[in-house]
Amino acid sequence: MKVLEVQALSKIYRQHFWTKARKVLDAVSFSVHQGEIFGFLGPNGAGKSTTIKILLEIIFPSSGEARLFGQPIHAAETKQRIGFLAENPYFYDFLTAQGFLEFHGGLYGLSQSFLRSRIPEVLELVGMKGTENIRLRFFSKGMLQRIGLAQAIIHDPDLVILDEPMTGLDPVGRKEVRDLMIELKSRGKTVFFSTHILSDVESICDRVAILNLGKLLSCGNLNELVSVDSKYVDLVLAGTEGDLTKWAESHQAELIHKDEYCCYRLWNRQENSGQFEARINSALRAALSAGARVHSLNHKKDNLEDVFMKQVGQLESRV
Amino acid sequence: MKSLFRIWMIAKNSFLEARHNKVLHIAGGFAAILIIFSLFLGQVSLHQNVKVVKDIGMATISLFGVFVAIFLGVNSLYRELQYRTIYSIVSKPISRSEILMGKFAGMLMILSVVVFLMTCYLYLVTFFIEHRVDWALLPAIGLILVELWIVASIGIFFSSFSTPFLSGFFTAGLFLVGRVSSELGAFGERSDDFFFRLLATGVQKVFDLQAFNLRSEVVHDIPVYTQDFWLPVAYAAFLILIVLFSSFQLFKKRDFK
Repeated sequence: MKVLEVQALSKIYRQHFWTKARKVLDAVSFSVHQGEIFGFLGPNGAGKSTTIKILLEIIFPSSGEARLFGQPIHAAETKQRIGFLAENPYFYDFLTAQGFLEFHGGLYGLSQSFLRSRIPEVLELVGMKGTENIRLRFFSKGMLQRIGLAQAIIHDPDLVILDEPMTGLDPVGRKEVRDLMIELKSRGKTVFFSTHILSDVESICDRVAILNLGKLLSCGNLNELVSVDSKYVDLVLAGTEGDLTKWAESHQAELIHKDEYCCYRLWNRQENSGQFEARINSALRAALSAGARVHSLNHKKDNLEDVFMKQVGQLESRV
Repeated sequence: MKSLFRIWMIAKNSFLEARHNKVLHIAGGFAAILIIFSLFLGQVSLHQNVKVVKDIGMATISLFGVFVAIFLGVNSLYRELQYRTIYSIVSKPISRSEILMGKFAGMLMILSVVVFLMTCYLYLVTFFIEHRVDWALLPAIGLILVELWIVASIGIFFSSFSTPFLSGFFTAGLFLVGRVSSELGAFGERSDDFFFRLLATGVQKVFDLQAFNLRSEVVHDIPVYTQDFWLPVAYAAFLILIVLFSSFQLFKKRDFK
């Protein structure tokens, strides 16, 4: 079941009527399914936050449509099922954690009696137990991020939307947020979050979408995205130079590095894993027969960072 | 009912936020000093001691109240946008008109508390002079409060689409126009310029904040009739409704970048 569906969403900004219009989101379409953790990737200025803001009606689209739980985004009942944490959130620092959560819970229509029992639960879930009576002005950035997460899940939403939730967190804080997302998923909730920290995405996401310059570059299962891209094998050999050169030519091995050993790279030329493995074996046999000694063999698979860099391109090309 | 509860949550939060604002505390201190200063002015007047204190006291309540109304009117909403706390609020099941209503209700609450405290203070000072409580001041102070609500609604209107500086400038400007609209109208009637005459007399008829000034009457024991109070209140309700409705229209389609 689709929890979130975005169709040809575009956003054009114009500062003044005499300034040039700037398209920050260009016909973006994707969907998020129930119970998955969906990573929304892209460099700064890609349009991630713009998309999220449109989903929450913080801004309005220039064209296109977004649906949450099969209903238009402006339907009041859809917002009741969403929890949201903004990027670099600022909260009312005169409130205590308890007062802050009572305020946000109140906006969801939760009664004070329900909140009295719910607030300690949520604070414990985000690792903030015992902070009920502390004013937010005394909270560190990591604590503010966590209290922000607490307000996002206070009403037990079906979909949690997090805009750069790892920003400003130390490694321990990042792990705790990741664990919380996994915990939410285990409870059948859907998590949609934007980030540019790829290692976090690789470790927890089921599916991802990559966005750059307002355009959707790819969207799909994380394993598919990573494995469809080229793989290669690095073979480190030692032997007579002439023999190795001849071997490399006949097996189309690319010399990457040469010192005491020679490092050759065998690229996967859109072969399936069986075909590619057969070619590696054949190349290895030939190298051994040519008198070479095998020092090491490393299977290299593109990780998400490689895929991301390939799709997004170098910074120069983005500027 | 749920809508009212959401409006109440925003209003309560705005009230708490304003209560913690240091600028208002400092301005309140100045106002209190000004009322004390009126005691000395009263001493130099000829047998008019208490009247001077009452007049300056109510003028101070009005002046300080207008400052608070403009300051809160233009900043309260802008702070939510500047610090992006509005993102968390808009993502909740609450309409933008409810947010604006909540903000306005919060301002009504803080203005009412400010006027109440200042009134208590003024009564304390006048009691010190004449050893009695002059209840006749209440209608005038009530209308000062209603006038402040109008100013706050105008501040919200401008801040729903403009920056605090411009909003403050426009609100203060409009307030001054409202305060001198009687003189403006009289001036317009004598003018040869048709368009100026139309504009000046039009402004006088539509936007006359002098209707909320009963200070001279209550200080100099001139009779105040029921309609002197209720007609301006009805006029204020009408004006506030129009201003708030216009604010909703501007606010509901605004992008919070």
